[in-house]
Amino acid sequence: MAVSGWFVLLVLLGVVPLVGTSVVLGDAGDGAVYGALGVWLALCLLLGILDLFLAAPARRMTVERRPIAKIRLGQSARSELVLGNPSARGLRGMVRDGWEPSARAVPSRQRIRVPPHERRVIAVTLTPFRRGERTSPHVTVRAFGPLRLWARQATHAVPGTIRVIPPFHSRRHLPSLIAQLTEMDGRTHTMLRGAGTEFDSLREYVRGDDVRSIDWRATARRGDVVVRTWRPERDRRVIILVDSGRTSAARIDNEPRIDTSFEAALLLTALAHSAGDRVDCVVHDQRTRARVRGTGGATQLSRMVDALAPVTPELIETDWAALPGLVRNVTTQRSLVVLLTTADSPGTARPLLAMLPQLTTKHTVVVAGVTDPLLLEAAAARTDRDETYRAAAAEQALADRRRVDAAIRLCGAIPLSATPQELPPALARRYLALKASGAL
Amino acid sequence: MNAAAVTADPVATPTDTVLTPRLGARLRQARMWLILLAVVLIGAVILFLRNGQATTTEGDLNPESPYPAGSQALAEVLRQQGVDVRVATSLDEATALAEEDSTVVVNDTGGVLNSDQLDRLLRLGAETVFIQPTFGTLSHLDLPVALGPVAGSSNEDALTLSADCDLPAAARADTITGRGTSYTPLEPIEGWVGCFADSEGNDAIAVIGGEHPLTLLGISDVLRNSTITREGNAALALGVLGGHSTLVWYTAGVADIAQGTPPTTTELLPGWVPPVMLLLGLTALTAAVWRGRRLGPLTIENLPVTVKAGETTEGRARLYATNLASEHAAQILRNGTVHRLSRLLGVTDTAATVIPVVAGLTGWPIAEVHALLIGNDPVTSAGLTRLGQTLNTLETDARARIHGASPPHDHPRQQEENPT
Repeated sequence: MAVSGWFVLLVLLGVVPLVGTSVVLGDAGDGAVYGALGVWLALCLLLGILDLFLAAPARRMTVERRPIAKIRLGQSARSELVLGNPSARGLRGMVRDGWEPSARAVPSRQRIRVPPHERRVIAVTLTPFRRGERTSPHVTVRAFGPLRLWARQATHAVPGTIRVIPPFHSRRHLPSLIAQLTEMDGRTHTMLRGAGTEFDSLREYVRGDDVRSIDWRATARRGDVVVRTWRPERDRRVIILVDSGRTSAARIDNEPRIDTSFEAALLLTALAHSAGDRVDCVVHDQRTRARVRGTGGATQLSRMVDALAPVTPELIETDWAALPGLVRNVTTQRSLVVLLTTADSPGTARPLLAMLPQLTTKHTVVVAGVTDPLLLEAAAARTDRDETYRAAAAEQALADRRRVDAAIRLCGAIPLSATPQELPPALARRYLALKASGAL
Repeated sequence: MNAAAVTADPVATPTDTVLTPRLGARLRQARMWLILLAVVLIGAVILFLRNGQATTTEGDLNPESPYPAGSQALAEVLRQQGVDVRVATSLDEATALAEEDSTVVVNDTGGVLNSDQLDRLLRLGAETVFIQPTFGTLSHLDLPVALGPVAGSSNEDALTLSADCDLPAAARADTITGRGTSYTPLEPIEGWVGCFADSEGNDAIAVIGGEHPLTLLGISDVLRNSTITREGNAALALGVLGGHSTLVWYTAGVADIAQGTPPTTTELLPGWVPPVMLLLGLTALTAAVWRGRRLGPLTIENLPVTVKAGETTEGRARLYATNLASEHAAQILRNGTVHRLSRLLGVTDTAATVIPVVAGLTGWPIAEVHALLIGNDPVTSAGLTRLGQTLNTLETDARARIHGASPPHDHPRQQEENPT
């Protein structure tokens, strides 16, 4: 049950008959004024109850949701409800779809009118500002009576969900990276003729070709100078391990580390996919939060985006010792393992460093992390006492990071750190460099 | 869409999805609280009724009070002696109870009665007794009498006074004890008989004879339950109050004050104001219900944890600053500069190798660079700031020599090394 503003106004209007009674009856009417008050209140209550009985039965309304397509963070979607009125009384009232605040539903409540035995569509525009699953557990219907004084109200459990996938801003880097990849085609041998690059085809010698790539046997057969061409190795495995533990919750440059990791993982997946490699992705802290198998194919990226969307950082320490097992589960073949984590002080990086040699004996490992651009700014600012001390602290943090990077290098892995905007393309370039050198 | 299809479709109502409880269910849920509320209400009513009855028996000089300050003992003894003791709490009540042959006892120690009321009072019965009349009462009665505490009495010790007068009741009592007031006529009063004079000759009890005799009882202790048994107190009290067949014991109270006072604000307001105020209150309550009813329950959202990075760096900086660790901070700053310079110049990461190269490159005196990079540590914070700035200048100079103008710090991207 609910009461409208009109009912409040109706109660307030009782002032008129009260003063009226008093003025008409004079001094003798003191008791009568109280009587008038009682009569007025009874009248209001009677009208209210009458209104309530005449209101459409809010409990009997039917509420259905229409499916909502998943959207990228920053986009808007339309959520539609179908409200059916099976009763013989017209529904006049309000409806509220109980979306989470971060789904940013507009309008949050709306007036509706559903004639008897009809249905109406109620549309709400959602512009979520958080990725993941945004839900609405219930829909509330308030049905006013014909006098608009009292209303029946019922909340229907009609769960609705919209999946908001990571924005993948770094896909703007993809065209230039793919261009670099195609440039590598057939030219790699000029940079490095080593094991791992694959033989592609033979073609006629053109001036400028490396004489070392002349295939003498073919030249003898054809009577013309023929060179071998090479292409980047294909069908390699890339395993991306995203750390969703305690340190991934830190917000750098207004973006949590885990979101930067996702951006980097998505860009690398997209690039590796066009390079013909298979990418597996595992999000892990104490347990595995998400896992995408590298089956290749066009759906790989969308499956990955879908799997990563609902993952949020957990405030627990990551179980690094489990990682070699995870990698073995994915493949026993030599592959590129990318760890997207934070290793910025020798203390916290110790379990990671202890585990790394197990991976590096078999795989090529890149340890990628986000650096705070504010740290670099702070290290250079030395105008006053406080700033100088802050600069010293920042220098210490940078020195710690260098020590950890050195330790990672000693373990046989490749450290990589960059600002949140720079990390995804930096990781992709590193992948291309490794590919070019045939290190996969 | 034909009408039949439309009507048929929504009939299949999934009622079990409704979360809002029905009224009955809600009452059942709150049953425990409702019972508790009922118990508390009933208990409160019972307590109110019991206490409401109990409060009437208290009060100073109240003939129905069994407490030490009350006078139930005296009233009971008088009743046993055949005196009809009647209790009045307002002048109107006293007027209704008094007869021609009555003693009227007036307990007006607060002095609330005005002269008109006192005039009415004097004509009520055959005899009137004032218990410790105040100066105001005496002047309203037009009696030129001065009053003061009984001379020689103090708060701790009750004084014993002897009768020394012709009054029969006083003579029977012989001596009385208690604290109180004594009275002295300022000019001769006709029929004034004073008894129990104190050391200064002021009378603790005085009777003014006439058609309606008036007694001024200065020692109220003679009437109280606690002190009536001492000396001749009881004899005096019975003698003074038991002179007639009925006794009206009148305690002046609130009901008497209201008479003759100007009308209060409540009386001046029009009759419709209180009910309208009540209506406005109820309107406010309705408005609270109107605004307070939510359109459905709140939606719960699990918010993600987001930790601000750089807090540890900030904390470490404060720690350095509060401990004035300028030597330590200087060492860190120097190490950072040496590292970047060694990177820039392509030499090993030690100060010893960097110093000659950077001095040669920038043209800074080698001694100065030496002092800057491995000299004495600054002992003051100001020295540290200067050192930090000079280190910055050195780096900028070196950078400018190598490749023109460039950012003061190398970017982490540039720190990436080629895989080997």
